[in-house]
Amino acid sequence: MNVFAAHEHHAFVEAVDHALHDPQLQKAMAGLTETLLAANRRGYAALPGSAELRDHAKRIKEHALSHLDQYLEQLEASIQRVGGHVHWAANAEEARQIVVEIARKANCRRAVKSKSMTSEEIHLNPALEAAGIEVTETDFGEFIIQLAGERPSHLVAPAVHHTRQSIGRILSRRAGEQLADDPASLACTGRRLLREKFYQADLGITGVNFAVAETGTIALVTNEGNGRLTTTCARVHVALMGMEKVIPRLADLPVFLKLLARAATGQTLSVYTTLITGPRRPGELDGPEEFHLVILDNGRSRILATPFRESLQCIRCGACLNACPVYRRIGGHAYGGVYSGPIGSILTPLYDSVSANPHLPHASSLCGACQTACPVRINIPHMLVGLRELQHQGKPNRLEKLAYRTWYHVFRRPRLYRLALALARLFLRPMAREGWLQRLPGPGAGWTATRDFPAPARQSFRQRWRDL
Amino acid sequence: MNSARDAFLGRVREAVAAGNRAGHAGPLEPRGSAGYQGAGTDPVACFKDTFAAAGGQTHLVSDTETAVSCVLGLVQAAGARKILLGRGNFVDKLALSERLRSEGREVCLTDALPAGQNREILFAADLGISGVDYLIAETGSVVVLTRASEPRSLSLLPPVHIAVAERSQLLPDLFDLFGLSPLPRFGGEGWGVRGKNHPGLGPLTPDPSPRSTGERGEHALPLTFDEAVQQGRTDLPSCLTLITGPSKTGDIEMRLVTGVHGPREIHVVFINR
Repeated sequence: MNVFAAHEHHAFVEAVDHALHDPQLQKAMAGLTETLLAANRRGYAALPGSAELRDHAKRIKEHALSHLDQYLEQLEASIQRVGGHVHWAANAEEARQIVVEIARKANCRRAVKSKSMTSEEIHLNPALEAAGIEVTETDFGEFIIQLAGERPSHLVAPAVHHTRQSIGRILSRRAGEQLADDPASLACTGRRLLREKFYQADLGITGVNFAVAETGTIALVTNEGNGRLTTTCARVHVALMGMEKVIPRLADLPVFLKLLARAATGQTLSVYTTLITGPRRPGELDGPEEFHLVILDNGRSRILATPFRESLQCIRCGACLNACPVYRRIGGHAYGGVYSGPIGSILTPLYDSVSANPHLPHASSLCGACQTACPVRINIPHMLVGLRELQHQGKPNRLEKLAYRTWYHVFRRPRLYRLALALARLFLRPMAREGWLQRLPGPGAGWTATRDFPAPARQSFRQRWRDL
Repeated sequence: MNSARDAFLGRVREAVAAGNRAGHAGPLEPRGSAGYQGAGTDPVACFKDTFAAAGGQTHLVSDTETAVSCVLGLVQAAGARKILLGRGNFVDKLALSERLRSEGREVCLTDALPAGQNREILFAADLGISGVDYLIAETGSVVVLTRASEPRSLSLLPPVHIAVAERSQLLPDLFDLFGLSPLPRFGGEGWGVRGKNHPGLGPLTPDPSPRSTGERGEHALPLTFDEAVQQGRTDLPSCLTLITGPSKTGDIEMRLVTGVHGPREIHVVFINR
């Protein structure tokens, strides 16, 4: 069950430190997140009634999750009705086996894959390669990441940590020639290299943005068109979805389509929205002959039973990442999981385990910007606090208890409180530099190891009030 | 039916019951008009603007003859030699293939590709010409449905895509495509079999029971799209695509580059009458 463990558990604090001292990453993150956050706000503002629409989108997700078993069964029936196949995977291992088995039965050797976070979650590529199937990531950013042997650092901009020079080097190596590093000609090379792969592909693997129970339709959203190519050129299509992606009716789909792109990039719609209903029909020239939907649990049913259920409403737009003051500084890789940012700080501990990811629930200032940006208004801060509570259940910290008890006694006695403040001013002010303490003595050192502490003011508020 | 499936759904059922808070599992309230943007007083101008914002170009023409010369001009400007030409009542009316051939272009009709060479021809085309099923003014989108005469590749593989449309195909809002608008529709040819009056994608009649799939054997599947629609078994084609501008990526330092996978140019030749 611990799908992240082998690859990604890592030293969070060191990774953060590394990110903060990487000027190129800092510049890229600031540029990306500022642009996208402004676009997100503009996107909502430009749509009349967007607040009500977001409320409605949330209600649809709540409704779907509270009838999830029924909608999954209906989805299965609808897909079978149009000639598709449905597979059920309890965990990552089962999902990998199912996909490899589909490929083996259909005798597929070359897979093209459009961007899918769920496939990252189950570590699909190594399993396919072990079975002798070549896998090519076809989202341009993901392709670069795959060539560089890295993981994506943002939900919608996976290669944001690269410059055009580093992308130029990566693609030149792959193309076997020295390429100019202007974006247009690099993209052109990418197109050429990937077109070869599409031409040869026999297996197309995609994620699912939304699955409509009523019609058995899956919706794929891309800006580049790689999702379309993947579902056009290969003779077998495998779509992989977390079970929370199902929505009840076709009429619910435009609600999410209107919000997804606006939240992610401020576009009214992403360039390509593709609705796939089963395999190609007789007489059609292209499209897959076989359509398979793999529905993944991998810890989701466990979450469904808890108050953390709300995290399953996420539509993976990346808006909370762009809004988060922590993500904006440390970038996606520092989180150590497949999902990063505020929503990743909830999903990774929940899918994996809280104890193995102790820093993530704290990688937030709880400012609430994530919830404001979220198209389905997920109460991320509330759940982060909930995870922090879980961490401390049954683990009372004596020192912390003592500190709070002391505070309680001091705070109740005005004279004692004023004395304590005077002492703090006396001892701490000489250590301050420009109003901040870089190092606190004793147990306070834990605080100042990663952040500064404000120095006490020269005068207390009460003293100043008297003088005013 | 198998045990993995039943165990999966059993787990979900238990989790749903355990996690449902009292009063939170009721029926879904209707959306009302939330998020309906519409197209204002001039839907054609609205489409032109939103499509331009997405990077597409609209060419307004007044009749079929000017539409044909507009298409020929665009083909000329693109320097395209190999043309994929879709089939459909509306595209056929323009009689483009003779005109293109007379100008020395190589034309492949999508319903007459030589067997066994589909892939080569589809990948090698310089330009694709298709009809459209709908245009959406609010979002600046072209809606195309896959059918035997118009494959997915037509609007995808060639670097330039020209879509020919007329006013009756224009819908104000994305919600209208899904048949739920409280506002009047512009009508449109309907889809499925072009020319048949099929009112949008519409909500399906509710599935009586998800378990009623036992009778699947009575119908030899897969059905053609038309058969499926006639039998009321599906209202949807195998693939429906909303195209909102040319293929885009911002993956290199967030600089916008078009044409990374799909067409780098998309034109709508719009007969406005």
